[in-house]
Amino acid sequence: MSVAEVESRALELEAPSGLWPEAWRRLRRNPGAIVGFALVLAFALAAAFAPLIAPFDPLEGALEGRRISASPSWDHPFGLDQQGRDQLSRVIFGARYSLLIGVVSVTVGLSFGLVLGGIAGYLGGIVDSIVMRLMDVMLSIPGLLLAIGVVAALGPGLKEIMIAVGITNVPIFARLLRGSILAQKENDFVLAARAVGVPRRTILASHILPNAISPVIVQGTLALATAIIDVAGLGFLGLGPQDPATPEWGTMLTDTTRFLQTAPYLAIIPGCAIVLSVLGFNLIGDGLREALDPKLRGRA
Amino acid sequence: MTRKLKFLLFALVLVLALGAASCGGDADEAAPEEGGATGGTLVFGTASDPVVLDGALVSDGESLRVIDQLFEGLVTLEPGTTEVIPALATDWESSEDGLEWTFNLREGVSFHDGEPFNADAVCFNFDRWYNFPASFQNANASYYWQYGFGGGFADPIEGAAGPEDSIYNSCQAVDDLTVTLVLNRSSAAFLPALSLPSLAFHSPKALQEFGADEGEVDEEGIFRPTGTYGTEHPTGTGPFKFESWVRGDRLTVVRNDEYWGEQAKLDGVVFRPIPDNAARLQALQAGDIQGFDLVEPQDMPTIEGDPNLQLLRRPAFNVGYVGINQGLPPMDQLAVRQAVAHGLDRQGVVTDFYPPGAEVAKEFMPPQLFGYADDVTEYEFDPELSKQLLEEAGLTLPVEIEFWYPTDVSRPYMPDPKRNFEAFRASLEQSGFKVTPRSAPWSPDYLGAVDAGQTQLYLLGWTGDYGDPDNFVGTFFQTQQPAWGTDKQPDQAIIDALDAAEAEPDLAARTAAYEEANRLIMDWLPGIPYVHTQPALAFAANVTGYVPSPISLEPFSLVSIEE
Amino acid sequence: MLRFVVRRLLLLVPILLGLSLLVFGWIRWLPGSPAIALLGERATPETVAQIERQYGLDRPIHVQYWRYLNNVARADFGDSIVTRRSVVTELREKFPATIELALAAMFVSVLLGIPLGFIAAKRYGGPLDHASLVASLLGISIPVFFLAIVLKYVFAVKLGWLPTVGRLSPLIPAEHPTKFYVLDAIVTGNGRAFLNSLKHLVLPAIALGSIPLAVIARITRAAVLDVMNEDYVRTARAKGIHPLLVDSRHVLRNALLPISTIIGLQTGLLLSGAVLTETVFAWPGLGTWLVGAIENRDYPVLQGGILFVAVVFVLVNLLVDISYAFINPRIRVS
Repeated sequence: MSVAEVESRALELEAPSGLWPEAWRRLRRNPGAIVGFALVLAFALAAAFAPLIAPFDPLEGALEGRRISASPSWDHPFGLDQQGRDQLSRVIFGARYSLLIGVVSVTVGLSFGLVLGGIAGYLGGIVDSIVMRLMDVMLSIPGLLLAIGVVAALGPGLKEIMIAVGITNVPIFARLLRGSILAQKENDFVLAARAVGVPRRTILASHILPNAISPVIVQGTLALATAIIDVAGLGFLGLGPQDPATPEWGTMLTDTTRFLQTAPYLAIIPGCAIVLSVLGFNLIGDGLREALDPKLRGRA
Repeated sequence: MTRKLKFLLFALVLVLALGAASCGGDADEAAPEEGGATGGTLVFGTASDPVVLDGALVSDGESLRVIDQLFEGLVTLEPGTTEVIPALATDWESSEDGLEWTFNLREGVSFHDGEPFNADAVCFNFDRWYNFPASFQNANASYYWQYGFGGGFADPIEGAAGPEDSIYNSCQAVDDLTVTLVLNRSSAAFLPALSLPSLAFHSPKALQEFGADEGEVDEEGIFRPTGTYGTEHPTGTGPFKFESWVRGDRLTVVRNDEYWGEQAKLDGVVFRPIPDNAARLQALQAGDIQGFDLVEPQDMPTIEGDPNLQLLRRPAFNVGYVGINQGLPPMDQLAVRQAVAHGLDRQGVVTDFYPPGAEVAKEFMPPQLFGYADDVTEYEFDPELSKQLLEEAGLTLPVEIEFWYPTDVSRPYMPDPKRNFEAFRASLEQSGFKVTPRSAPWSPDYLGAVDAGQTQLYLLGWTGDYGDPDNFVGTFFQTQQPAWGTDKQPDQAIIDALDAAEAEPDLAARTAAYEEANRLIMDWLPGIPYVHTQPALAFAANVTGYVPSPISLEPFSLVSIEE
Repeated sequence: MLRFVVRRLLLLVPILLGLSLLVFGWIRWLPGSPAIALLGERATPETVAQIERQYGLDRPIHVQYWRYLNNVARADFGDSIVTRRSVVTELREKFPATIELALAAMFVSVLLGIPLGFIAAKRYGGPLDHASLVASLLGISIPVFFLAIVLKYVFAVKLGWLPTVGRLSPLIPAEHPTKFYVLDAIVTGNGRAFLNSLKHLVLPAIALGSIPLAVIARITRAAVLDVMNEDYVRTARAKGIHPLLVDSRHVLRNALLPISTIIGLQTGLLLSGAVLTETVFAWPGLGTWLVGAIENRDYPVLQGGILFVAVVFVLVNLLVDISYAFINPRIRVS
């Protein structure tokens, strides 16, 4: 269970209403969300234009003379890693991997979760029971442990990590969508549509889904943050990408914390990259939630 | 409710204050409680708990480290060397054909439970090992009996060595303090192998009383050990005796006041498991422990620069190598193996990732051992030559290969496998290869894959157990092994050379025979040795008397803590 | 109410069955054979076949599963391959260590989180509010292991205030009847062990507590804001009741409802975080135990340990749901 899910369950947040223009207006007035957007934008730009921004090739290193003790210099402001590679360039290229891993794993979790949650919520009955019990089973294993288990079974690798983190997201999204569908089902406009004989599929597509989707967006943003943290955790436990040349932030941070005493500067930049990107997604997610949630409305 | 809140805040302040107060005051740091007269207690950080304190059933370093303090064998090694010296045997002689060895035992030695050590105890132990039940016959349990010593079993399971393949034949108690060991074949490595902690002696009474070999076979046919010998009652003759073991937390041994030799100086030793390398150094700096093993090279300057700490280096009695599996093409071609050898930047790796004192290896055993040949074929780092060799062999560049490295492990010859792998990979890719990285956790996955012959190119190494070339090149190449692909493509000339060298009784002739074998090996190139390094231990500056040993097992009985 | 509880308890049955299937299936899905794990590096095809026969791994899969269920029902998870000790024995040692750490983390997070959130809500929109928001956001944005490493480096290595690893200094003699070290010290009246084991708890508890701390602060803030806008609070205030009294009697009491529920919901987060925190502080708990078992392919430990953790997690959630239903009757109907 992610932080976001814990919070929403505890607060019994209600399904946001779909007043997007108004939500957008409120979002723009939320300084936290603006900072969040700025952070994520910087992060995305770094990923997109890494070859242009990064001063060096992240994979090109050299032994001898360019050892870990090579202190920061003008050429290499955050030093060189053990293989003599420029740490700053690696972190910039690492944005690609973190973004990729985050987006893919959340997409995996989201799509499977939405399909399952949608089926359960809309069909109800025995299907609902089976699907939701399955989700309960998956939720009953702590997230990181589940991810570790999946990586252990699939083997280490970028693809495997994405799948592992994605799987931990499936039950979260399934529950979320099912919950909001159930809530929408009882809404007046759905009851009205049903009363005038609108087909079930049309009701689902044109009435229920659009209204159920906003909490999914909020949760998706927050899940991106959790995914980056979880991948870093996997890297710390030695379950990062199998190809050690991959500039993955979590593995880089883990490798450099061993040099905290001799070369603390090496840990700074991957550490900051992780914290700031996660913070960015969290700020946006928070902002979206406040903007969309009717309960929280009228305070900001 | 505010009152509650206030109370909570008050409680918080109280806790913080308590914490602060306790930080300054009590003397619970790892420093010895009472000073010099009694010797104090040393806290040593280990990588993990021992498996079990029964030397016959373990092969891992952390178990052997503790076992070595509690138990003794017939012979031992002079601290800091690989020279065989008397231990529980005072002297010995062998028959002309080397098949009968008679040992005179030390008088007045008793086990920690008060039982006398005598010829019957020796034979009891040998009989125990030889008659191990099926569940103890797998290599994971009785590794050293089978592969270090060459022992078989009276009633072997499928796949284990039987009486005819066993070096051990029988044990006869001639009188109370004289014992004769009868062998099936002569081996120059027999005597040094007797120094293995796995062949040290246990109190027969304790073994029986606490059911060392007992277990029940449950209804599914699974053997479940029920005895408590190796977990609660290990009983040897050593300078320390077992006191208590809280798993994951501490294992305590205390001085044996009835020890036959020189008494240990310390009151006791606590072994404390701290799995993370960096955490062990930090614990030492903070005073939570007073010593630890396997210092990482990059931490050595930190330790040497700290007046409160000291660094002790062991002799470089090891070899790190890149293994090649000849069973997986194109590694069956000599030219490709030569191209790999020329494509590895061994000097770069040794300079950058190993401490001063490490040297680039030319062959599969360390230079100080007899039988080391100075004039083997050498392979300089030369990417152009590699490419040329590959093209001449008719291969199109780049040649795709799989290169394996282990995770979650740090070995004396390989402090950080991933780091070595990355550098080797980069140099191989300069040399006409395209490397696919493969990794797996060290045990059992990585070692399992290597030994099953699934790894084309892989990082591995070896630390010697005793001072004989047989323990290095004999272990690697005297038998046909899937790890090297020698089961598919054996070189009989090398096997014959090693067989002859092992059986040769004359030292000069043996030396020449091993030198010749080493030349053959390095021409045939079953793998590429790249480093002999000096592993290091770190201690608090006031710890004295720890003598680093080439075989990485040191007696704590010589250690003391200065005021 | 009773019907609700019974219904929830009945729902446990399919979940537990599903769990056992999941764990059983997962272990067979792991690469490498349990026989290789048992035999170590020098396994021969013959010995592998023998072990597989011995452990019944050559029998049909449904027979294996049935035997697994039977064993689980008898609380027999077999013996660890690595330590050769019974999994249940190991569980009895590791579980208290993790629970002790988790409770301490919870203590830290409640102790700091509620006041932080409360103050933030009272100073809504002010600098204090913003500061606590930023702090709590940072709390959930820093990887737990990184925070743990930095805390240890600063407070244990550099300043030397607190120990770096473990649960108790090995030089302090102590008995461990319950395996909860702090409790053990109290039970045995061992003052030194008590203080020392508390000191060992401080850093891991703060590191592990960072996420729940942030969550609790955020929830408290939101809940207090919610309640402050309720009519009865406005009425109380309008009646001129002393603000402190309003805060304590109406605001905090009602806000505690959602706050108390998340404490249960945090179990999963805490267990995930414990895996990382325990690794940094060499804390001999469930997290390091299970991760080590995955590395070593210690199948019996995995079969038993993961099932156990999941069952605990399910039960805690059940308790939370039931107690929540007690407090909030609306839940029961849905």
